[in-house]
Amino acid sequence: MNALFALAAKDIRLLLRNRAALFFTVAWPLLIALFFGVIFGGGSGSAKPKVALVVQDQSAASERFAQSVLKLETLEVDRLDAAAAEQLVRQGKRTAAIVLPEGFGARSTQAFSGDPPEVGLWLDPSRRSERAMIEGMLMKLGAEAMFANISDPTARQRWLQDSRARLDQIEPESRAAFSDFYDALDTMMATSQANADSQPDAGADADAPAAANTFVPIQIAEREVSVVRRGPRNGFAISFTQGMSWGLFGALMSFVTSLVLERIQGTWSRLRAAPLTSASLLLGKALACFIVMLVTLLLIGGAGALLFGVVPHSLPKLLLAFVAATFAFTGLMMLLASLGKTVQGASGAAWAVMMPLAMVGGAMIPLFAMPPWMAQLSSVSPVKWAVLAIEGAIWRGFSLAEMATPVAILLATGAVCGLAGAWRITRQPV
Amino acid sequence: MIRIDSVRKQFGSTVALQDLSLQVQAGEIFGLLGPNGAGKSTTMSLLTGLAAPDAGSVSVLGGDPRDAALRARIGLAPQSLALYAELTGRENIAFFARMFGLGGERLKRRVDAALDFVQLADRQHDRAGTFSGGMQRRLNLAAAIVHEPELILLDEPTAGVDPQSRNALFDNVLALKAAGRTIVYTTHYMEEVERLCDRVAIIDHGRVLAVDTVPALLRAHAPRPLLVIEREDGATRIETDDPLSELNRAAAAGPIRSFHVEQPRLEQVFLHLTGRSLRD
Repeated sequence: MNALFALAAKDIRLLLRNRAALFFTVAWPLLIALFFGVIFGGGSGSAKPKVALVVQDQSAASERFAQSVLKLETLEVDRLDAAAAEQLVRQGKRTAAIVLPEGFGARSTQAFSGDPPEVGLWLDPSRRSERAMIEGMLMKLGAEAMFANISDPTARQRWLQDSRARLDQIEPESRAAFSDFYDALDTMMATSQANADSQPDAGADADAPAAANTFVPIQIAEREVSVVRRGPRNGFAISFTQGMSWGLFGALMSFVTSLVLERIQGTWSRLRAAPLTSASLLLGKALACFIVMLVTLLLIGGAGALLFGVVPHSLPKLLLAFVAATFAFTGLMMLLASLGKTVQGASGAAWAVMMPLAMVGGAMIPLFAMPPWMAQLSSVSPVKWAVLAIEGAIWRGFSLAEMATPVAILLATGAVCGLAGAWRITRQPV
Repeated sequence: MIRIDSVRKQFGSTVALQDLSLQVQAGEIFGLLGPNGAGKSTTMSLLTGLAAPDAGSVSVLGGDPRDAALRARIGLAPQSLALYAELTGRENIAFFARMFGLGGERLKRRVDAALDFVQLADRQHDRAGTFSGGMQRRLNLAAAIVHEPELILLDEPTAGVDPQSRNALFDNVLALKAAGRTIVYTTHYMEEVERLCDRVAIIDHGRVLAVDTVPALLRAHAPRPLLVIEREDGATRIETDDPLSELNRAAAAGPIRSFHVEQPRLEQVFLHLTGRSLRD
């Protein structure tokens, strides 16, 4: 086992020191993903989450809050009715819907007593990262709305009046303190306003939500909306899957070359003369290839998720797809490495085999854009099943049963090709 | 230590070895001499278990070299520089040591010792690809001995090496013999065999033509020493076992301008046995 890991570590170290191989394994696939992502329209906007805004309350406070949501630079917001918003979230075309329900305006005057204003948030439960960001944004806007109430003399008077009227809803032991606080706040804001009026530039930066830390400005009511059908969220969802295919090709070519080089350089003879079985040696090479391919997929997938919003529909399913695709390509590597006695011969054979498989498999033309005859032909390519499994986990919303077919085909491909390659390699003269 | 009996090995239609028999004793340096294609590398492959004989038997260290546990007692320095150019000298040696089951403190100690032995400790952190040819050959030897094998197989260990590194390698080989190791040494260079090997086998077309010590081979197969006498009217060449008596007779016959004696060499033995030069 120690020797197995030493073999794998050696190959990974050699790859990391080979800049050209590293470039074609990681950087090139990312460039492909970016390039095709822009072509497919992924670059038309930004990676901002698309959010629907539903305003069910007719008050001025609701309208002010809605306008502040629409002006957010970190979200792409469009105003829709409730039914349309829910449908788009359900289809995966909007990350979430922000809903200002009836009563929002009335409750926005209740800062320290009663319930704070409620904001609805309808979203796909799998989108945890976006949920945290949107909740943060809403809290900030709530605090800013609260501060706007305090800053405007007329609104402040109305707000203080409402608040004093609800003193009886506050715990008895705190009522006196809150009453004093309202008086002091009124005096302080009136004085500040007078100073600001006499010094027009002063207080220009006083728009920070100072009260945000002392109370909950809004209450967010989440409602989970399960997605029933999902298309690619943007062009990058397609191009990053293609980039992952190219990452697998790059790693495959590197390891085909390295295995042939071992035989040419004589290191293979030396390894075969060691007290290890041929199976152990090949397993070490396969383990290194598997790790490199898996890490490559994780890096490309991570870059897609963090920078381009390619968030998987299901992370466990994506990992399953990665493992299956990596297994298949590792097996292919073994078979292709056995086809040539020279680096040129083996890499030529690898390209000759892999390019057609890539062309019909969806690494160049997206599967959904293929003409019917090509879509049928693509089934012979393991690339198609790798792309399909990864897309299934990223944006096709595959169930486990739907994932089973591509994953099983990939695992079978890896096993058959790997065994055939190993059989051929161990029978070649050293 | 090594016993090869009537071995035949064929690759396709090419017969690499036919009825080849050899015995190597423990503690000796045994030379394998033969032109390209004679069967030296195939013999090495059989000794390391990389190939199996089609007929006959191979016994190394009392067992079958295809047995993985037995191979742990054999060290191989292949003719090609079997090193990873992108790894440092130390990383190369440590990697091959791990392949032979070394680990922990013993691995560190043995890697240090192997690098010291071939005088590459000061370059151990440089990548092997930056080493000179001679240094790479020494590193190749270090990789073969790092696990302290009883039997060391050196396949053309000085190919493409500068004279300084060659002498260093000779010293290494003699030191290994002094430490009790058994060494099988293939080479094209007669002087290496004459200087290092206790016994030598001359092989051609997959057969052993002769096996013995160098002096014995010279006695058995080389022509007699050649006395060359230069006179005013030309040179005379006389084959003789007693050059001094022949010279006295020649001096009595007339004035001699110069003379010299050509001693028989292993190359002549090889030519005599195979009918072709070692480098053919």
